[in-house]
Formats: sequence, structure tokens, C-alpha cells
Amino acid sequence: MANQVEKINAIAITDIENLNGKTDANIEKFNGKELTGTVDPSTIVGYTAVQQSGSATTDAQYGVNMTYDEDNNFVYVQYALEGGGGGAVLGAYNSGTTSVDFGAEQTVESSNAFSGNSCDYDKYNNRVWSAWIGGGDNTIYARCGTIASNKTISWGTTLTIQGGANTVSGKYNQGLLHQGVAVDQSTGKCLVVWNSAADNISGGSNHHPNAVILTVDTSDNSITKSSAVRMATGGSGQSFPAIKCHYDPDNTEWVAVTDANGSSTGIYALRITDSSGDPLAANQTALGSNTSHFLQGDGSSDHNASKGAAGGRYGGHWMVYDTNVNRFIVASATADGSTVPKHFAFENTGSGITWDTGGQQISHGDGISGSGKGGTMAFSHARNRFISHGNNGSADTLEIFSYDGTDFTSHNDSSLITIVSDSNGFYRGGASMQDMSAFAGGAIMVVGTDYDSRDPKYIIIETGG
Amino acid sequence: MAKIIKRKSDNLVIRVLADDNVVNLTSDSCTWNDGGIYSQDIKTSTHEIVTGVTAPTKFFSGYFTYDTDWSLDTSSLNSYNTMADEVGLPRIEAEL
Repeated sequence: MANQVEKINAIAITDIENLNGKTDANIEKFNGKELTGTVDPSTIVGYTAVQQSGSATTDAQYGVNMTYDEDNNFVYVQYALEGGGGGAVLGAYNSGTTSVDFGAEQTVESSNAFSGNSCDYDKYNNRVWSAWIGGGDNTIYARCGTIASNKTISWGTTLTIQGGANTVSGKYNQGLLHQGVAVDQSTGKCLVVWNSAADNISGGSNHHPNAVILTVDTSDNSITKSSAVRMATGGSGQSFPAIKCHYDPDNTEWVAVTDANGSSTGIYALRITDSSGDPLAANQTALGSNTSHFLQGDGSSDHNASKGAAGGRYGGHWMVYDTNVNRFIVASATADGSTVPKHFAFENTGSGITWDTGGQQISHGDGISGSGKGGTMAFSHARNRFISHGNNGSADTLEIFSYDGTDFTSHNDSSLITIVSDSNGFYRGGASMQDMSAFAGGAIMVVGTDYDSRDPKYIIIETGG
Repeated sequence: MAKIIKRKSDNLVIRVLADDNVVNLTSDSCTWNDGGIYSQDIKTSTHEIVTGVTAPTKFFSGYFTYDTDWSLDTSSLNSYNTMADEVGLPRIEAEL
């Protein structure tokens, strides 16, 4: 889009702050002529409690995630409950109060853990998908529901993807890590990636990364599953290997990142396709030339990274898809105590993976800890920018980046946004993988858990551009 | 004293609530916190409400049953927490 408007009523565009309250970045056309402009980065909603029917929820047992329903213009936020199980709320942005109006909490799961909870919105079937690890034996479950305009959800029956220790003696499902669900928006099929108790490497929790493809019956929201298929082979290189996934709309297939590669570890990307109903991995390709960068650790001990661009093992989303340049951006973690984590870009050509090994160092907080330090990534479809955040020991800070297909730019490395001044706030969270441009004037919402109170929190950020 | 929601089939306790919490259990669903929380999985055919119960010290659903007294499945809880420590997941805290 090119700018075709220079003046309005003889006043230069650069001298006009807004028209009827709308800034130029939110006005695409003026009397039929294209208008492009800019808006500065800002915090639209600061560190605020997720609510249920107007009251702050105090429910999170360390883990919150979200997606966006464009049909209802609602955010969907799901979280582990303090007394066991998992719940979700739906919220609409209120521009008058600059906050989100949430509905009543909808129970997803009544009991046990709600670990690694992952979700995505299905625009093909107009459904929300959720997966989690829970039950008494670390079973992995999934559920699909229909969101109504009154902020309620009609869930189908819960599907057991893979039983845990009571099904596979002494083996616990692991590795559903807040970005383990992605919907193929061209078919409505839902991919789930995790470390399957039925595909063991050693011990009770060290398993190979697997995937299943789920299909919803829209008559009752019940789910059927494909065969579980190994996506990458772990081994001595990285105990408890990791895998996270994302949909690629340009190639209408899935992409994943993993650190499972037999006796070595590192950062790998791979394609995942629907092969006659079952997931099929292809073209697993290593990031080269960056031997100090990993996803969760260097393999010398379990997920031992001490710095991360998106929290390592304790982070939320490690990957975004930049729809402007058709590249995935992935966050690294480092374990030597000194190497600054980076963001790296890669392209899925539909027949292979091509890495840009240059990368972009982060300036925001990079602490990693199971006691409250772990950030996430998010992409602004409205501004073609992405964010990541993390804790620097005294505050959780957020940085805004863009990538033009060749070079990265940090837009606020000298003026980071402080989410909260706390040594352990806003971790184990997530963001929407869906375009939420219509939600809050182009701003994006990010969720995380306050470690001390265990409460789910959110922020809404205008990334600028 | 407390009010509990429990599953009829095995006495598994789903929630421990204050005695004055407004709970509405119907044939289709259940709400508590005066409508603030909704569950389509809890209904009169499968669950019941018991009032006048002394709450456990630290409750977490999935490990407690209640008939005329409380029971905590410490074996399952300890197995879970051993696994959680190994992989870096938060422990579950529960105590009679």
C-alpha cells in the first residue's frame, strides 16, 4: 500500500495527530485514496489480571495461554486452576475503558494438572482447540469447542490422545510446551506435538517427539485422532527433548522446531504434512554457524539454558510466523552464561527449510527459571512486527522487532517496555498465533503467569509501525 | 465449614468451596461463585453437593475423595511430584 494522501484541508498529514480519534496507522483510505502512516509503540493495557465475570481470577497454577476468535472478536484465555483442572474465559476489548471485558469462567477440565496448556483457533470450522497434560498419570488430552456470542463455550467430549503411567507402565507424557497445537486453517485439522509416553527413550519421562492430527465432528464437537507418529528422534543429545509447532499458511502445512537429533542437539526446523491422515515429518534442518544457541539447553544437563529470548523450557511461544516476509522467527536460549540469545529466521519453501544464520541479539531481559522467569513471542499482523520479553532480575521487559527478509531491526532496544517491575512476573504464558488486528486497533495481547500469586495476567501492546 | 462438589461414582472431590458460595447444580450443568464459573461436565446425574464439610489443609482436585471422611491418594501425588521435579514442572501441593 502506498501513501497517496499528503494534505487534509491544507494541513500536512504529519501535523495531524488523529481524525475522529483514529490515528493514521488505523486509517487505510481517505476519500478512496490509500493512506499509510505510523504509530508509536506503546502500552495500551499494562499488567492486568485476567478476570472472570468482572472479578480478578486467582486461579492459575503456573500456566496460561491464549488465542483469538475473529468471528466474535473475542480473546480466548485458558489457564490452570488453583484447585486443579483448567478453565477458560472469553473477552472483548472495551475501547472506552481500555480493558478487556471477560465473561464467566468455562471449565475445560475439572481435576488434576493442566500442564503445558496449548490452544489455537480454527477459522475453517469456527472452533477453539485446546490440549493439555493432566489426569492422575500425565495423560495428554484434547478438546474442541464452539464459542458463542455470550462468551460461553460448548465443548465436545474430551479426547485422550495418549494415556500416561497407568497405560504405559511408569511412563509419563511430557513436552507439551505451550505451543503444541496448531490448526491447518485450510482444512480445520489440528496438529498436536509432544513427547509421547508410548515412544520412550529412557526413564519415565524422556521420550521422542511425536504428533497426531485431530479431526472434529462439527455435529457434536467430538474429536477423532490419527496414528501417533514420531517427528524427531531424541537420544543422548538432549534429555526431555522439545518440540513446538506452527501453521504455515503459504504452504498449507505445519512447521515445527525441535532440539531432538540423536546424540547431538541444537536448533532444528522441520516440515510436517498430512500424509493420508497421519502426520509426516520432512526436511529436518539444523541452524548452522551458531554453536552456542539452543532451544532449552546445550545437552550437558537437562534443559540447562540460563538465558533465553523466549524463556527456554519455562517460556511460552518460541516461534512466530511473519506473514509479511513469509518467514518463521524462532527464539534461542544459551547455556554458557555469557552468550546473548538471539532470534533467527527461516523459510519453509514447501520442499525444504532455509535458515538465515545471522540472527538478532535481544536487549530485553533473558533470565530463565522455573521460579518465575520465562517469556514468550508474539507477532503483530497489523504492523508486521514481533515482540519477545523476559526478566532481567528486577523487571520483565519487552522488545519490538521486525525482519525484512534479510535484516532484523530492534525498534526499542534503548527504550524497552517494562511489563512489571518484579523479579518473577509474567512467565509460562503465550499469545495468539491468529491475526488479532481487529481486536484493539492493531495492538496485540500477551498473557503470562504472576509467579508469586499464580494469577494469570495480560498486557495489550501497540508495537508501532 | 465448607461445601464440596463431588463425583458420585467414586467420591472424587472436584471443588472445595466456602459454605456460603452460591452453587447451582442442574441436570445440564453447574455454576458456582454465583454464576462466575460454569461447567457443562458437572450435573445432577453424575455429581452431588455436600455441605458442612471441614476442608482439608491444602486441596487439589484429582487426589482427594470424600465419603464420610477425607482420603488423600498420596501414592499418586508423590509419583506426580517426583516426575514434576525431574522435568521442571511445578509440584502439586495437597495436604489432608
